[in-house]
Amino acid sequence: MRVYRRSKFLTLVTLAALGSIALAQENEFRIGALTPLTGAGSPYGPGMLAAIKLAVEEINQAGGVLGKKVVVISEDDQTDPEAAVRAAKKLIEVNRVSAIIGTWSSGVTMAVLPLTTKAGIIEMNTSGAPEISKIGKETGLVYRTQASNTLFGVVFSKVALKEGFKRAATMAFNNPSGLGNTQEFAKNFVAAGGVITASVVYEGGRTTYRSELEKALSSKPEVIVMGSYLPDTTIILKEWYQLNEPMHFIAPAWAVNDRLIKSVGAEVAEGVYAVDAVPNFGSKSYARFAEAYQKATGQKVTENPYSAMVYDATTVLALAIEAAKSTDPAVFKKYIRDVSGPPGQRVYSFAEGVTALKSGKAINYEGASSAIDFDESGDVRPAFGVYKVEKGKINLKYIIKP
Amino acid sequence: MVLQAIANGVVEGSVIALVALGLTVVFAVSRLLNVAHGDYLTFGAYATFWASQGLKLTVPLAALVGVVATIVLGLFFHQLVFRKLIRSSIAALVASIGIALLVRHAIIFIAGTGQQTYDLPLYRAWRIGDLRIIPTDLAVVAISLSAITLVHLLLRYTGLGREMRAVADNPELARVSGIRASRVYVTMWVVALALAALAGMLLGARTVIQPYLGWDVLIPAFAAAILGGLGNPYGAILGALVIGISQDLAVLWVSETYKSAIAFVILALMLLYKPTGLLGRKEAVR
Repeated sequence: MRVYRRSKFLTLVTLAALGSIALAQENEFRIGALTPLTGAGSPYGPGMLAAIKLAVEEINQAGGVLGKKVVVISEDDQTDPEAAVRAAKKLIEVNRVSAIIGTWSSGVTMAVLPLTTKAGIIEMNTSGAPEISKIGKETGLVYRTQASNTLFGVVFSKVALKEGFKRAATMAFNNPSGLGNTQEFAKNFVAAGGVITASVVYEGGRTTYRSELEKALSSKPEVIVMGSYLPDTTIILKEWYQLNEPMHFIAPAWAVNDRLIKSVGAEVAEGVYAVDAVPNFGSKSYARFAEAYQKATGQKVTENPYSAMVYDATTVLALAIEAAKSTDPAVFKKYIRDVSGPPGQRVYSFAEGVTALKSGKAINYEGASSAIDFDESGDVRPAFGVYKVEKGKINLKYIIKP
Repeated sequence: MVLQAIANGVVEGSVIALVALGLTVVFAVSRLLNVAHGDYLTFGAYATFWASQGLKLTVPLAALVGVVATIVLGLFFHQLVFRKLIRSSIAALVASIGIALLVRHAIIFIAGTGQQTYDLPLYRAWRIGDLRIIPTDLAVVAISLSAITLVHLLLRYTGLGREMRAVADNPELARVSGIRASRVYVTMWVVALALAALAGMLLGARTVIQPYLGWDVLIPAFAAAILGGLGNPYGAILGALVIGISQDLAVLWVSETYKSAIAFVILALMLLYKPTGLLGRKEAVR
């Protein structure tokens, strides 16, 4: 009898506990932050997570989404597709998130997309692979606040032509991002009258790229255009310098940064061009975010442009839910494009957007990273900065609008 | 171009040879396929880096500290783990996987995943006809050759070396002839760990120091050791050169994308037609 009573008591307690969890879950909206806290993306992942949390803090201060508190559950994608899939599974199946924000490497995003698509939730990334556009167009669930490699290719080609190069070789890391960058570059460069002398593709994680580099050099280009990451770029530049053959390089800015200059020295890095999307410098959202981000992390937004991209992604997501009056991804996905692009009243923060929405106006969110006008594939067209390494410093030379 | 590719292959092969030699020495004496070897290598590279930064030593001096630190770490795991698992090579193999992960993640915890570099100057290449030779690469080959020669002298001409060879040949016979196994095991680890640390330092100097440094080189090194006939030190060196050179030649004739696959194609062919490896011999079956 006593045993029976105790078990009944336990059942009641358990039921009450489960009930309160269920209640708590009904009162919150959960998003998963899946950022590269370790691995090749580790210079950026921690800042991206901080930016997502800053956006969520602002949203919650303004009353949350539809009165629900937004909760972030963070996992490390390790810049590794396998680890990312495991983390995404956990976020979807255990935490039951309605969106995953922050995948950085294209390989990671491509690996996670089948899971988010199957679960019918939103995926917002800062990857470049062209294939992501196709998937986004089909499902309406994929949004990226970074420029696609197609756009990078256009800009790389514009930079090469502007700097007066006619013959170019490409060297690409064998993954969707590296290949995307260089193939799109080659397409645009040839269309504009340039000549591609060699297209070298290399595997990552190797101890030397000397034979690959010599293959590119021996084709006598005027410039080598890279689709690369930091470690391989470091090794290639070191080997190139030792080979003592004059050459110009154009590379993505995630591969050419302060860490690279520290690794190879100012002399080796001198004159290398770096290209990346620049933040939306003139906007009010940039001014506000830049200050909050620096206060939270001690880092400048320009050192980690992906931070602004995920900040905007999170804000747009919340605005879309407010506009749709639903936290169901199948319903609010249609509103993501509406709240971020024209027409509509320009708004620069979540609070401003909610106020306008409540008074029945259409809105157009202008972000900290770019104007955030998603096209039908869920892609944006940010402006690009062209940087050059001079005496150990990376200087912004000019801005290109693709 | 062909000559240049061969030269590049020799440089790459000479580093793989150091790693393969370490693997094969451990296998010969204790029948252990030591997966942790790659991460011992990474540890050696980081220990050298920390010594050069923290103690303000020049890189060659710091490399000595790195070698000693790696030997201490490896002997610690020998005492703690491998000594007790000598009778089961499968259990020891699994344990070595655990140690590999432990060492790697301890490094990530301490140093983070960002890349580091030694404070070493870069020298421009010498041109001999069409051939370009980088002075640093020449130093890498010279250091690797000296280390290999030292191991050769140790194995051939010292009492300890003779004991190691005796245990490798026939552990039972060695035991009944009064060779103390513990002494042989410690010597084996000292040799293998010193080679690993040295390879880590050379790799770090040529490329960048990062937590996956040793893991990435482990597979070509295992391939080289198997190609040469696992357990045969001279075979490991030969195997490393074959793999190094054929990978760089592959860039010329096949596609550079398949560079890594070349090692496996060679290995597969070898295992099909001569399963004992280049210099391996048949083990008597009774």
